[in-house]
Amino acid sequence: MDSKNPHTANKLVDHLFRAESGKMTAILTRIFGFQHSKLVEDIVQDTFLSALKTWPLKGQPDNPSAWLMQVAKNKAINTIKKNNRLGSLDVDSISQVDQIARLFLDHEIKDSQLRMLFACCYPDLSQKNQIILMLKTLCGFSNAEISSALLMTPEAVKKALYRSKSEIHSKYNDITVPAIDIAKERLDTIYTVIYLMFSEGYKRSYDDHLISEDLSLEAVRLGTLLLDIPNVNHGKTHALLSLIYFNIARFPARIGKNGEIIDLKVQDRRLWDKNCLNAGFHHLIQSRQSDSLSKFHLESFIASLHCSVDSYEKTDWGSILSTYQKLMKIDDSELIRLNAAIALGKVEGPKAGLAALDKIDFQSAKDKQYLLYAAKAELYMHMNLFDKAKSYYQVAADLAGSNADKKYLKSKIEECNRNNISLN
Amino acid sequence: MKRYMLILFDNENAFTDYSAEDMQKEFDLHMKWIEELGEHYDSGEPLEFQAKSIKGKDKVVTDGPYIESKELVGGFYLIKANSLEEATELAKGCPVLHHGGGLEVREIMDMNM
Repeated sequence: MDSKNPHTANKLVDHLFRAESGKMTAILTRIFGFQHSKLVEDIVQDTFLSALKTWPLKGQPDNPSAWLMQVAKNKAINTIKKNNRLGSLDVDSISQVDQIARLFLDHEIKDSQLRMLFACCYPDLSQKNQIILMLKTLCGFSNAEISSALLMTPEAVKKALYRSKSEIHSKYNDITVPAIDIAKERLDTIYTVIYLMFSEGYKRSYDDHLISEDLSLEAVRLGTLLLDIPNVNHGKTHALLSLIYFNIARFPARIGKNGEIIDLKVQDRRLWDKNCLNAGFHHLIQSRQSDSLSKFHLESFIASLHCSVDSYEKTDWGSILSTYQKLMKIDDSELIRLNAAIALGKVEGPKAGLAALDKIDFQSAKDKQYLLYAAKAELYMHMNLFDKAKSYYQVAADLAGSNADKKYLKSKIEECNRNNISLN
Repeated sequence: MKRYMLILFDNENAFTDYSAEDMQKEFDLHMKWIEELGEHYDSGEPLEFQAKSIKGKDKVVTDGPYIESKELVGGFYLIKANSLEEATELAKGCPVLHHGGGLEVREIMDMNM
């Protein structure tokens, strides 16, 4: 029997459409400008519809990405030709067909994406709005997907996007303006936004680990894109990528079968994703080309210390502590001091840890206050003071925001109860 | 095995709100179905929406698809099966049905009787 089924084993790379959507949006926005974002969205949508209509019937093309770009290019050119007849769009400067065709070449695609990335980070936009705009334009997220990823109402997402786009349009005209050279100054903002995108994902890892992975992967993709900027010391970019990869690597072990939190202490380290670990170490080494240490360097180094041992007992707390102490000089946030105190507790004993914890209060970050109580409880457990540990866990559980955290802390209370019984 | 044509009636509005990710998932569903068809799969052709219809001795040409068919034919698959019943069962897995679309299953006449 002749089996010429062209579809066999032809599954698309994960999230290919999202990545392609980001590319197309970047190029098309460069052509049409932010003021025509609806038109841009329509062309992208039409392109995917063409794929959805033809690929199942004819088989997936050898190079899906090139196919999509070709279709989008033709649609853009047709739109411009129609415009030249009707004069309905205000995009005369770039109306030459060959100029448009050039923008769909590989190196220009990357250039457009970078321009878009920098445009999303215009300083007048809030960090939240920068993330929203990036997810929409570069990561191919729909409004609904953004709203569920960032826990906002779809209406709020729509408003934020509208405001950001009109702000960019009125103040900066279009994304052809910030040449890559000028945009280098904005690199630090971009690092911060990518880092935030990743931590938004991290926060969501227990209530929705798919969203969490999506956001982290997009952060990696955008970070990797930055590496294409020429003549820049990419040490910090590598440090950021390393940090994100180390965290993604641990995802498979962090969540139990019933969605419960699994403590680093008892995680099955064999479940850590080897490829992501390797990528983490690769970027860690590359990050050494920096001439100074950033927050990302230190955080990725700490992550690497956790990731390079095969059991919790082998953790090098001494190095972790000294790295946190360096980190505190750059970022004196409560969270960093909390982690330093926990490391101190490991190195010098629970009493020293408790003394350090006593100096921290979470006045400026009340939603994280439960972490302080949980850390104290943990140290009391080490001292076999289970009643005390239990009451601190109880306070932590009451203050914790997410159900997964509450559940985890309650399981710790039960652990205290069990230990109390066996002690008596 | 005999050959059957599955004529696809698209629901044009099904995907207007779809995100890139939704589209990709939809595509993966199609591919999964076709993969499951295995040796039953023969070929397929998508059809452009632009159409002219010609009717009668006077050859009256109108724009758009043939007026009498209420739904738009979006394309067709050719599959192989032993009977109309089997072809119909196979066709039930086609993802166009998930979104208010439809399918018509027709046996292709065999000339080598």
